Amino acid sequence: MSASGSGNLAYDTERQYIGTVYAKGLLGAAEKANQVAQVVDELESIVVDVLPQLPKLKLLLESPRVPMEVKEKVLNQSFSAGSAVLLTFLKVVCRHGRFDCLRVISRTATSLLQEQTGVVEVRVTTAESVPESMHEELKTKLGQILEKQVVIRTETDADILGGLVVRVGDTVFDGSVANQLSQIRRTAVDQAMQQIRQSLDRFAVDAS
Amino acid sequence: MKFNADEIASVIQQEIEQYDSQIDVREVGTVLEVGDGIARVHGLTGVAAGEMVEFPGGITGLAFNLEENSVGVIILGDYLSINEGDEVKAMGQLLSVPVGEAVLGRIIDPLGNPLDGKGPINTTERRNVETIAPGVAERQPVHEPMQTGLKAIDAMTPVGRGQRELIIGDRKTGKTAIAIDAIINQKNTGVKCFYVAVGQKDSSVAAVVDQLEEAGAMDYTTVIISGASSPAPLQYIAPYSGTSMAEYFMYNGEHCLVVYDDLSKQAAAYRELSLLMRRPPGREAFPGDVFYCHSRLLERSVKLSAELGGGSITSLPVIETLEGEVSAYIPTNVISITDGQIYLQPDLFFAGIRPAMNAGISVSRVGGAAQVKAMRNVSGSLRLDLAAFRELEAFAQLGTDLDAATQSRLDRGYRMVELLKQQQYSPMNVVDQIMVIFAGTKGYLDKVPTNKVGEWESLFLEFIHDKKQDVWDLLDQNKDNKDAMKKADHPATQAVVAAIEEFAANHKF
Repeated sequence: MSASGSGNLAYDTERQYIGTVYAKGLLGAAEKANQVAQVVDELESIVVDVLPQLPKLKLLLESPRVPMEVKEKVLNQSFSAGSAVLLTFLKVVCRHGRFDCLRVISRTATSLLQEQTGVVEVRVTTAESVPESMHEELKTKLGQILEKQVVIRTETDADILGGLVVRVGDTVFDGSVANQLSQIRRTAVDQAMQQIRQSLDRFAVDAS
Repeated sequence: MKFNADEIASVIQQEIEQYDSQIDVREVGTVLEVGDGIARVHGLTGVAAGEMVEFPGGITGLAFNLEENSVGVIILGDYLSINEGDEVKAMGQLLSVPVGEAVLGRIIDPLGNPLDGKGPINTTERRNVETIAPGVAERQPVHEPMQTGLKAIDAMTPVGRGQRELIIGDRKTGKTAIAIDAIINQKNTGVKCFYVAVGQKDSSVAAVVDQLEEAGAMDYTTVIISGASSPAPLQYIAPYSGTSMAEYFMYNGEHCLVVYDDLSKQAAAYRELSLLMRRPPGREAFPGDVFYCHSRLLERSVKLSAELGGGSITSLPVIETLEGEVSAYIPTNVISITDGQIYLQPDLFFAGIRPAMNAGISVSRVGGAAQVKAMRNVSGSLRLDLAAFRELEAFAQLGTDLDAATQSRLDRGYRMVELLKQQQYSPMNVVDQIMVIFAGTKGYLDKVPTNKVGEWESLFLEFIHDKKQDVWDLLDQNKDNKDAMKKADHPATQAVVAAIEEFAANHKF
């Protein structure tokens, strides 16, 4: 699995329904062949490594004007090195005209597999890139806290100034310097306002 | 006043020194689409229905629809500055508004932000906008009067503290005027008033505020505005936030009057939201739970039990009908929720009978128990008599010869109709009301020409206040006596009759 990248894609509710159905089907078929991890990995590799490089291939496979025989031929030639289950699956997806959903299918399959195997994906944002050793440390630490196997995706964002922002699912643990500064600002202003309201005289100066 | 910057800086410094850094844990999601005051959000898996969420820039929203793959959020603010892909943060709390004495005399929006330029609302207390209405054990029957100051209403459809009395009628029939008069009449009674303007023209709200200020009623009144140009989510929550502000006083044992002007617009705003959220439309395209939308609001108008301090919220919801169609969806709903309705008719209004209340179909289902006793004694049969008079009047128009008894009943009816007319913004004290209605029902006006009844009334009240203040005081003390103005030998009755006769002897019409 790549260490960074396709984590924050735009979300498409309609395709998500379709993607879930196909992803479940793929996992079921792969389980029978006992190649689940391999198939999911290969699918992700196709989506992340191959299709963005070859937009014309993607267009061809998505286009309804290209006859099915041609598509099958192309698929056979391109992906026969991979597992047979995946090749058949790609053909089925093509035949149903759902090749545009492949990205969603891949993402859903990955998350379903992670859910099954007790793996949790954690997105870690830092201000600057940090050494690999620290990733490992973070991985074991988070693994202990979450009691799950952790996969880390790292991102850098200079705007957080420092510290660490950890995102697990939809929950964000924000320990960034930027956030702490804004918290300080908020509490300081709130408290000062409250004290001014309570005793105006303390802050008043004689006009004379 | 000038401020000392050093002192303020020292407070801030102190806060920073004491600052205890904490990791901020929050639930987040991503905006998928936004528009028309709503947003669809992916993520926020742990968000609860009705929970507040925050968009970048501090705009708040409410989780409205929880769906399998997304969350529908209504945006309480400017949705144009929100973009697709923005991060949305769950706040872990429900929507609340500032409450307390500081909101009185202010003009605010449904989120509690001041709109009158008089500075921030100086209070630290807040209350949830959506709260559950008190249960059966926490209530008591309505038994105290809430005087509206309008003869027709206080005599025929009396309102009690804790009652919900619907004001319903076509456009331009004086619905708001009744509500404003009721607010003005609460002066010096300790009743706090809340005027919730939903979906109204800002110009008409400005006129209302002007009138309230002129009458000195803004001291105890809060105006909550979400005008016609506000987004639908704000119009939808405005009545709930107004009620929350009133509840603060109610739970402190005080009395409140809330006017919702008007709930048809709120229902339309709720319909807009629901349709945008793709909730299935029902009758008149309103969503299935539009009844609940109004019932849970009006159930919060309560007379609390003595153990809880006995505070109350009286509400006057307003509904605008189209062409007198009371059997439309929203009017029937609200009629069935409220404890009675004041029905205003355009033909009466244009015939000069103002307030244009139709006595036949206006009712107050609980107010009778809360009416001032002396008032009940003089006006007990007034509503039915007037309804009978209307029938007789229609019959008399056929031009048939009438016997003397019928003619005298007709004459009495004409005078009563004349007597119940009242100028706008001039609510009357209940003692004054009792005296003039007593004079009318007991036939003391039969000799006064119909077109002079108004003049008689003002001269008579002037006479009482100038020369017979003792009679007025006596009736005021005895107004809660069950025999007052009923038995001829009661001292209050005798004094009033004597005063009327003395006035009649000195004034010829």
